[in-house]
Amino acid sequence: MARQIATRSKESTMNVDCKEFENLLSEGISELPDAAAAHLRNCRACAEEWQAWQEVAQAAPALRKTWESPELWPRIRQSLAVEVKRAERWHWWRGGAFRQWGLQWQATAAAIVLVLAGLGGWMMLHPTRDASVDGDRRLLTESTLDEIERNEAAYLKSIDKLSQLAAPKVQDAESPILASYREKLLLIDSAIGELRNQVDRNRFNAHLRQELLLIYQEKQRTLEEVLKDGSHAN
Amino acid sequence: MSLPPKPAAIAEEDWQHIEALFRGSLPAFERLYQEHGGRMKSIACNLMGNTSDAEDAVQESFLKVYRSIRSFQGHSSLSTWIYRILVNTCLDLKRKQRRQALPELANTQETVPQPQGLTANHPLRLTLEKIVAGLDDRLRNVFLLFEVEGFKHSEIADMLNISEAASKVALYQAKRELRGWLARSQPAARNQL
Repeated sequence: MARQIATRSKESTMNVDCKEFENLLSEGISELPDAAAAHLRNCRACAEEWQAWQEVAQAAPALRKTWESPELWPRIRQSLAVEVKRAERWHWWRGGAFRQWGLQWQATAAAIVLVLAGLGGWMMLHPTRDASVDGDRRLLTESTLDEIERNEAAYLKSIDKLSQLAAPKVQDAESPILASYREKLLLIDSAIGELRNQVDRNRFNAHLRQELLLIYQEKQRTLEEVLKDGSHAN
Repeated sequence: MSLPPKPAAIAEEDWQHIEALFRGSLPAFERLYQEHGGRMKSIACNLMGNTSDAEDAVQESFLKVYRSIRSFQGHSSLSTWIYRILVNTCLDLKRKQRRQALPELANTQETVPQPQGLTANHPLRLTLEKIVAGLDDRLRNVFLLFEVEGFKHSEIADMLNISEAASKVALYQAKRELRGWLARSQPAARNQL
């Protein structure tokens, strides 16, 4: 009955005022102009519409979320600190060391950047899929993965040993060549970190594993060069 | 690398803050977090659906602010620019999640925090939350930013890269849908307001 009255009322006042009121609603008004308020006194349908509109607006703020997260700022702070450090290193490197220490470095850095860029592009074109669902041939089986992880572990062990031997030379680098090796190793470590993050999210991706292995090899080679060249430099 | 010259529209104090952010000053970022972190979390939670993804989105947004502060041109306020980054980050993450369709996402829904005002299990809030979640993305984003978070249409237009008129139309459509759903699904809840 009330609906019938409302409909009749709306029909009887279905003029510019009702349309204007509809326009006002579509404008997202939160307070009624005087003319619209006067219209509502004579038009029950529009008055009900306005009432319902207000109820939604009043209830909406209840959807605002608050919760304690004391660990969030420290987490953000830490990630920002890493990012700032990386940017500083990059600017320093690009501005001075990169020009100073020749083409060999530029080629290595460019290769690493290309690998990462290629990897990024590859990831965009080949979004991660569940290996168990589609059995994609680019994904590794459990047994192959075990073997690769054993190889990676062997590389890491070798790299650890070399790192221990090379550490005193690199940390106390006085010659430009050793300082440049130190920067190169930092860059490689950063690339390894990024790749490891990708691998952690998708352990069965053969492409990622291959890239990681290549970078491990590059680190191993660089450490060997440090030990070899370092003895001449010092 | 340095910042471009200060745009005329930006106040000196804001510019100093921007310069500090550009230099990677952690106290400057902390100030940003203190001023906007709470609202950023709420927006992200409503867009992402759970606190864990929301916090990830906020963290990622701060990194993006640092990486792209140089491109801030002062066409909008710093805060609007930051919220724009946040909203885009959330939308990107959601797209990525949909593409990857990770099964564990279904389990993250339980970590939705207590709301302000109405109690967690208030029928109207629960109904509204459910209906809002079912809205088309475009309508939901505008509704959340305008009615829940209190942004102006001009700010929403800037954040979502749409016109003010489009923002108003989307809000109108969202409220029309919500009003219809609420009337049908929870007449008792409406009376409890």
